[in-house]
Amino acid sequence: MEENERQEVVSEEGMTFAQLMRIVWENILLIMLVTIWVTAFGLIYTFALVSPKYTAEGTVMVQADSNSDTPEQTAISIANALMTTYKEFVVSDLVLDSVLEDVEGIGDMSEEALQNSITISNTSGSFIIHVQVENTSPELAMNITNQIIANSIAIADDPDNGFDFLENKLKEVSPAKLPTEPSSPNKVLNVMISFILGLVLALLIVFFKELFNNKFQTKEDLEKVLNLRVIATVPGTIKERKLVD
Amino acid sequence: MIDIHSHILPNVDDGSDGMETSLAMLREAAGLGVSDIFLTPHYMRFRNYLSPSSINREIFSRVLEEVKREKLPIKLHLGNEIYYSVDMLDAIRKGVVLPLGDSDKILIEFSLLEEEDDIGEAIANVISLGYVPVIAHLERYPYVSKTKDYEIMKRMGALIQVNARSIVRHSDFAAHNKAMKLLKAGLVDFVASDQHRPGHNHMKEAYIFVSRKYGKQIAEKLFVNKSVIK
Amino acid sequence: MEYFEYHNVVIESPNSRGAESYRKLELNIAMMSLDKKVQVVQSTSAVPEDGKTTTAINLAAVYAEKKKKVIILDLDLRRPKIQLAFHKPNDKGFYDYVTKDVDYHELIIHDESGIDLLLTGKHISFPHIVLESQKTVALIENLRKEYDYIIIDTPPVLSVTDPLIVSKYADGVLYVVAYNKTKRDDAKAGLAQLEKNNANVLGSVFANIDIKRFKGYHSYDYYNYSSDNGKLH
Repeated sequence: MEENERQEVVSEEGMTFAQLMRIVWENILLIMLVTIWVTAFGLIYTFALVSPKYTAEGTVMVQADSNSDTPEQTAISIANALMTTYKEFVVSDLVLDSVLEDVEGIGDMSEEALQNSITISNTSGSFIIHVQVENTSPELAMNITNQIIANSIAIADDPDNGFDFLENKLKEVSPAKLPTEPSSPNKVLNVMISFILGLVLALLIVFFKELFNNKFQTKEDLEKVLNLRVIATVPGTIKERKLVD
Repeated sequence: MIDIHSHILPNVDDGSDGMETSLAMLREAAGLGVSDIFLTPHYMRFRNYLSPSSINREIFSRVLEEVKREKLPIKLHLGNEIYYSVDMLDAIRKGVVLPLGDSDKILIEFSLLEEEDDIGEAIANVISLGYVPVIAHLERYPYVSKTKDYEIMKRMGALIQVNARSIVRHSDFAAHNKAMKLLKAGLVDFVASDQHRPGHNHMKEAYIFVSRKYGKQIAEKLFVNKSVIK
Repeated sequence: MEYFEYHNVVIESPNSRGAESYRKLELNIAMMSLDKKVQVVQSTSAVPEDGKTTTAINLAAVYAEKKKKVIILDLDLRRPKIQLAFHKPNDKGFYDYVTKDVDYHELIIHDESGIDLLLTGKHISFPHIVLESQKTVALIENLRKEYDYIIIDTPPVLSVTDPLIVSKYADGVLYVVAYNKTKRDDAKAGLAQLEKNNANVLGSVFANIDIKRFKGYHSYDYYNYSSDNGKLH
């Protein structure tokens, strides 16, 4: 008998691109299925389950002191302080409560909910403040925005309230218009995200499936694992496998 | 009706003990509406029922004479109920045991107690000899009960016979249940009497039962299975 | 109960790709016979129902096709299958030769395909003892003189030691592994057993592949020596 010396070949465990493609191709149905399901779910969620929201925007200008006596630096820092103050002021209880009272159709919205629906922002270097309100009703979004602006200015300007810092410093630039398009959800984005998520999930599933697959799928696989040449690949069909010895 | 399983041939096994008894059983069968009956004496080593076909044929012809004389409206056929073992294959080859009449169906039985021979092997062996095995009273074997196994037997080419008694009597509870199971699954090919003595023929009762439960067409298929008659 | 059905594609569909693959097997075996003729071929696998019996019967058919004198010796004494594959009664066979000293010539069945068969016959109580006996050795030696090829069907290696015993008498062993069924660890363990017993494993047979799905299945890989794996054959 010949000596059957077998060398333990240390071969790379890495996969070639072709092998990866093969795995993807073999599982293509599973991948398609999972992706379609997740995307479909995303679609349903976006189009049926989530209520569209509308955002209205109005702008207010903060007037810095135009008194030429004030040095420029001070004027700017005062103006910045005004901005910051106004931003906080607008979402203060005082203003919000009045808005809740004044806006028709606002219903039972809580102060917190209202506060969360408001976004105040300004571009740095500019004294224009953007007041945005998001609501499921476009009318409400518009009305609330305008009410906020109106009320905040009114309250600030009322000498009885004693808000000297803000008094007569605020002026509405443009009121909020009725939003025609919903600002959320971003349908296209959602669908794309679900698709990608679906794909990722599908590939993960396939990856784990392959990782734990401990059966032979290819001749090369068999040769490598057993270190034995495959001298025949013979058929049967998967259906017959249970029958044939 | 066609009854493929009976122990009416006198003096060869634990069935009829004489010509008179045989005639009584035949009269009974005719009275119930059996038009064709197969006399299938045991061929069984361990009980010493080893009467070969040559002797059986002789006795059979005598029975035929009596039946002719009495003008009984029943047609007789000769066969065997072969208790399977590998050695039986030679007996089949040599014609020491007989198939059912002139057909290629051969009645085979197995132990009523425990599994001695693999039924699958038995079926394959009988088929390889060119015969179709009919498994006698399959519902009576305690070691087979799964529908899956019954289906495999059919798939391998065997036919299934159920005793009329198992259908209409509940005393052997297990057998009755399995008989019902086989009927329900549509796996039964023959219902027969397996009659050993007079007064115990349940063929008509069983026919009525099956007819009521599954319809006349099924009853005809099981009780008047013409595949054994050329 | 289990239902078994065997297809001899070489006989049933001689022009099919399946049949071709068995002819390739025969050719590869012949290639390995250049130094020392492989006359007695054993078929085994790691676990049951991987395709070893099918391989055995089809290989035999290829030899028969080439008009060689071939016999299949069923030494799977515990669960014989050859009689099922050829639809023959299994009442006479190896059992009678071993226990009743019947001349084995009387036990050999000549199938119409040109393949001779020696079935197991009745159940043998201690198969491994019988397989070790001088009678078995003598039988195979005698068959060598009378046949061009002897193909032996044996049980799976991980089930019993029978195939290891038989491998001593065989010139070469075919190790059958099923596509997408045999577990890697089982396949490795089985092969290790054979190698430990110094069996001459000719190679593996990758069986029961699904032609539609299997990418590596194309007609002409006779000369597909995977030379970068360092295997010695």
